[in-house]
Amino acid sequence: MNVSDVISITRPTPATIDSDVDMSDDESTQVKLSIVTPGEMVTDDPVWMKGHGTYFLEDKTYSSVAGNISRVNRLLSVIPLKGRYQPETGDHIIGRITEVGNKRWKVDIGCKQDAILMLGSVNLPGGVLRRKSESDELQMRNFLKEGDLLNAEVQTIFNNGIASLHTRSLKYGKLRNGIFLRVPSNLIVKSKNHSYDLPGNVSVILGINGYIWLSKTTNSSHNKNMTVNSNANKINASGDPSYVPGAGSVAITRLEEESSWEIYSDKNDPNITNSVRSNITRYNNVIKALAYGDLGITEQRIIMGYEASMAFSNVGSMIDKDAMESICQDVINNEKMRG
Amino acid sequence: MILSPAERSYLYDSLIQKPTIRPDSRAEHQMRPLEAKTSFLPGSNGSARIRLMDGSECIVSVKAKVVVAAKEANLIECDVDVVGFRDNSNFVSNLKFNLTNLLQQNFPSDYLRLTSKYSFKLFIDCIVISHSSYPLTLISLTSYLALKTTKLPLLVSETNDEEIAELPTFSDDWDNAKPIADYFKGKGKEFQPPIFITLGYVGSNLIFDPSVEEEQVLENGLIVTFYNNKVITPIANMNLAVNSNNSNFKGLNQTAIIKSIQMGNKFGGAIIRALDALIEQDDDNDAIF
Amino acid sequence: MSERRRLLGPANTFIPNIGITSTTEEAVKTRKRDEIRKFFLKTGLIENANGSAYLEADGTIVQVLVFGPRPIRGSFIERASFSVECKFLPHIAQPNEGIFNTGSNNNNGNYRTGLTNIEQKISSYIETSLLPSIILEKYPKSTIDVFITVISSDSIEDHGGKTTNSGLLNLVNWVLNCSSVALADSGIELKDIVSSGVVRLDKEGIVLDPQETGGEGIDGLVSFMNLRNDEIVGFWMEGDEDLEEKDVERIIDGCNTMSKKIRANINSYLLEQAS
Repeated sequence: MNVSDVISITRPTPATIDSDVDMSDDESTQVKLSIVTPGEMVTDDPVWMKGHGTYFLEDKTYSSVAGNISRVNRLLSVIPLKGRYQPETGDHIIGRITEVGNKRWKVDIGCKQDAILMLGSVNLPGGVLRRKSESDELQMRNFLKEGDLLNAEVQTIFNNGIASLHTRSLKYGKLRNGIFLRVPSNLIVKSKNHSYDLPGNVSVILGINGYIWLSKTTNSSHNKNMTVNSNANKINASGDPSYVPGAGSVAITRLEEESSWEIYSDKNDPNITNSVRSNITRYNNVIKALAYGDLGITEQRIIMGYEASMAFSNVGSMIDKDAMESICQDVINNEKMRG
Repeated sequence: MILSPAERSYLYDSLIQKPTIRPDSRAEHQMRPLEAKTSFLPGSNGSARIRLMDGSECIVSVKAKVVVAAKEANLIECDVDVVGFRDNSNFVSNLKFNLTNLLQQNFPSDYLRLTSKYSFKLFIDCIVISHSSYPLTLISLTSYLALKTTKLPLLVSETNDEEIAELPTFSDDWDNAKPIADYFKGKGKEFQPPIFITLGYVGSNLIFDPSVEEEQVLENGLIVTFYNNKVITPIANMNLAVNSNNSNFKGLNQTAIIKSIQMGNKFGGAIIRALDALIEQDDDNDAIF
Repeated sequence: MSERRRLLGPANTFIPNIGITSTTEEAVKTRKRDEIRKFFLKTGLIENANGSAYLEADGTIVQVLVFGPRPIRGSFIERASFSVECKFLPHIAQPNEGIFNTGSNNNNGNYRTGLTNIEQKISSYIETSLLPSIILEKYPKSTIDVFITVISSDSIEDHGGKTTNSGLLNLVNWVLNCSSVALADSGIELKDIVSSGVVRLDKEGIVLDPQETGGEGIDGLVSFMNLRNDEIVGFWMEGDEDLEEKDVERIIDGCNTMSKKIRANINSYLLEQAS
């Protein structure tokens, strides 16, 4: 028996310290480019408006975080290299319910304060046109309860920085049939779409907040662009829940059809095959490897990583440091080749 | 750590498959990869640090003291400190009890005898800086490395002090210090501190070293001791998901217990070999962090 | 709970002559290897608790109180939370306390702030073992608390010069059986009554409920749900001998025999109470 089948123990790798850092201070620049550290003067020109990540002292603007300087018109801010997720309106995120409160849920989305999800911002069983009643308030825990995972969109940001979410689309809602993992939020590249169907019958939702959901691709997401046959849909719904988060946009009539209790069900699809389960774990390890290599996580890279991972017949060996590095290297090489 | 009902049932259904499908595709007998470093604390007789990929980290320091053997109840004393937990909390007390018991039962402390009157006493301090899953294996593997690399100063005075009352004196030169292993070799025995292996029981599968997510859906947990190339007592079951409302938790059966011992016997040796290989490779040129 | 201070009696008191000297030594000697010592069991002694039990087996005296289900405040939980706290009376020697209860965190002069390591370990074992038997789903947003007091312990620590946990295991066995009865007495819904047995495997074979000193061997404490297919809910083995798989089987079987005997006693006691 091979020792490495049971355990791999490595030594810490020496950190490569780049000694070529230019220590000379160039006072003449109006606004220094590149990276600043907390307390470092960004500019002494008072015309700049001070944004996030800066503070103002005696007509001079200093950075309060370590990060990149960003200038939008006259607004000067420093974007931290690493830090908590900062929600922005329109972000597609994944969150976990932490508290059920008065007409609202509190949701952990990995930012400094829990986001809120108002009872009025979710679809309730019975269709979109249904009015919210007191009985809905009383049975909020039947819809979503502590620990439940959902994907949602940031609707607004309140003055105090708390994000307000909504799930008023069929692509949002409760998550089922898969596993959750999280990566640093700065690795997720914002794009138009954040839910993808991957090879191997697996779907992924890359929340902008770094929360990721890997699940089985369900039938209805394959049919998402086909004309909806409502009868077929009903049959489907009675057998297994046909609702799939991230299934893409759906006609409003279907929204009504599907806004039944099914969307709040906790039951997984009973027919998840072992090969799908294995593929999900493979993607899980690929994403973890990409995160380990500090690579931005995109659909393309996940697929390339997945292909590279085929070299490992034993997926379990992919959790070693060397294996993760080799996958990252493969992805980078592949990208270079494609240009 | 809470899982949603859907996550919980997906994870449970995956784990009970034959063969089991773990979230990170580990085999049932596979531990999580470790990163380890030994002998990095200059003020200790022995030290080690282990880190896991998820940021879990444990540091163990071993210090030796000369004591009058007859006055001591035990020649090894352990202390465990877990960041974020009170020292007298149930969590920390149990870890400490288990580690003390492990070494008390299976560490041949007679070998620490210096003279007929005096003996070394080892103080083992463990600090768990960060952890996600139950840290007992982490602590015991780190203690293994620390004990294995512990060096004791060379005794220069007589070993027989029955007639003449004399305090033991040691060589001033640290280069003369001998690892504990040498004390054992002199007595014809291989030095191998005992370790704990944590196993999770789920749907007739047994999985090594369950991660924090896996702990939430386990039906039971087992802790077995591996010493001198075989499984030995103490063996006990426990609920690894501390403070959780684990609705899957239920009893074991005899087959599972026997199987856990078989698996321990089969794969425990590989863990020991990996740890020993690391000690051999380890040199001072490595980065500490 | 408020601190109770006792007033001292007058100086010229004399000790009343009650109780008889223990005949433990003789009892031990005459007991056969497959015989369990006689024990005394009584429930419902404490009016204020939801359930209580008192158990006496020679020098081992244990009392268990069950409080609950009691409502909790704060966040919602779907299943009752279950906790166990085991305490020795302050001047009762704890098994191997010189080894396990080191460090200054627990003993602070005359009083102590929390549970000792041994008490915590016992609490955890009882909690782990009883947890699968309680139907916690029936009690959302509630808590069930078990308080164990070890009033007297006659556990033997020394086995031929080597410290073992034999005495600790024996004590925990009685604590567990007593706790199960207290839970049953409280009326909390249970899947089964947990009962347990403790054995020692030495050169001559299995000894049930061991109390003797001397000799090497393996000690085992196993707790069962005997009416649910002998499900093993608690498992704890100690000892210094080499361990073979068949030894483990023998120990589990031995514990099961003892557990069933104790269970039969508990059942007949509970039925007698009911009628």
